[in-house]
Amino acid sequence: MTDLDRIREFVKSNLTLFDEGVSFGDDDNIFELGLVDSLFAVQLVLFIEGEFDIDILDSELNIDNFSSVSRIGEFVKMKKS
Amino acid sequence: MKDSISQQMILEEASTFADQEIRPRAKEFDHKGVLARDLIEKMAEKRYLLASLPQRYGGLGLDPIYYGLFTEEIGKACCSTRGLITVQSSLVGETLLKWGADEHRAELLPLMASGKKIGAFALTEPEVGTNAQGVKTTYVETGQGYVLNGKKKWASFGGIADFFIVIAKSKKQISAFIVEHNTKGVTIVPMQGLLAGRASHIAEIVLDDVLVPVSNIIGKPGGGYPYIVGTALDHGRYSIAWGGVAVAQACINAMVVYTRERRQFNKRICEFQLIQGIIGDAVTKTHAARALCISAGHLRQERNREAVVETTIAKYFASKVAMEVATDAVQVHGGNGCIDSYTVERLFREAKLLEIIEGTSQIQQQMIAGYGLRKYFRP
Repeated sequence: MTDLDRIREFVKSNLTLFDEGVSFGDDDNIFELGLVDSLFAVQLVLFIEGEFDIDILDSELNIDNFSSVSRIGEFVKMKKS
Repeated sequence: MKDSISQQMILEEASTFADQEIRPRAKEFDHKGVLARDLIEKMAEKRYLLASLPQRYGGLGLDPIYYGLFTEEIGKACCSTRGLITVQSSLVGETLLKWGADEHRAELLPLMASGKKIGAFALTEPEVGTNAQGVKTTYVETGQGYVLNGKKKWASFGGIADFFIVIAKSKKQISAFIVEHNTKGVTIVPMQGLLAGRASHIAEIVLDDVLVPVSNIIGKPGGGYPYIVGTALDHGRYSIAWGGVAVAQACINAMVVYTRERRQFNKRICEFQLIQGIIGDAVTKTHAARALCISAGHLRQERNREAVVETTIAKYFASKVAMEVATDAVQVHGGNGCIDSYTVERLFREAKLLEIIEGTSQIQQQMIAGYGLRKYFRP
């Protein structure tokens, strides 16, 4: 499973919409589409830091870094490099 | 983080401190609407104000479980005193620790630990409660910094705070700022006539063209919501969950003493089975609430992603149990439960607040339901 697959799987398992047919693309803004609830942001931080063994710094606390599966993937890649 | 023997010693010392320094004065604090400065100083000397934060910042370095048990010890003695720790350690301290810049942490946290600076979290507004995303306080970036305008409400310890974490929105995004209390344009209005938290110095904060330097933003512009608010509320909920256990346990303690001493029909009332039913339920529910808090504490210690929802579950359940047990405690005390000569009168009022602050029970139910609907779906 690639990093992107793990991120996609995490987002999917936290969707607030209970519609089995719901789908989202890697570039979709998951916050703007209302796909996640207010607990998600903190869960996402715990997921990224725990799953990829990295620390998110205050200077990286930019909502754009975490807005979509692909942006999260880019952030993780940047942190691991 | 300290080892468990050291933490156990801190806990035992905190229990003695609560018995000797806090509990005897709780009624006075409630009546006067003031948490005595000398108590705050004594707590600062013992590093209680930032109990959950690392020792390098002046904290006690308690792990989540010991921090919870510590919160219970203080909360059993006085809800407003526990509230001070909730705000300093959980809401403001943990938020600065996680998302503050190095300079924020280095400057503010040691001052908070020593009691030289009190912080407060200014999120709620007169027209904005549960829907935190809808804040109306605004900020505009200028060449000199950020200019804030708006009104905040229900800021615990806002009345004595030296600085606030203020959540405000621009045209596009929501951000968080550190605002010193003596900045030009800041007016602090203490709130009176409160049901509970009367010694928590709850205040309104009016911001009228308040200029804050660029360095006072926490994180990046736009990072305020959901990450900073989410972090603060997550830590706040954990503390309030333990605050609920504290109220419930304090009610049990009061009921046990009262029912073993009070005599009716030539019997101690603890000998009546209906009274025993109430006490049996209170003990069971309180133990269950504490077990949920401990479980959430273990997950927080592991930094498990399930910690967030388990904390929500613990907060919802423990605050509900606190209200139920406090209601029963007043009932068991009869008329004596309705007068401030008995502790349960105050505990009953304080319990209600726990079902509202850091997210109402109804919003917790909704979040827990969302979690359940995802986790247990087996098509």
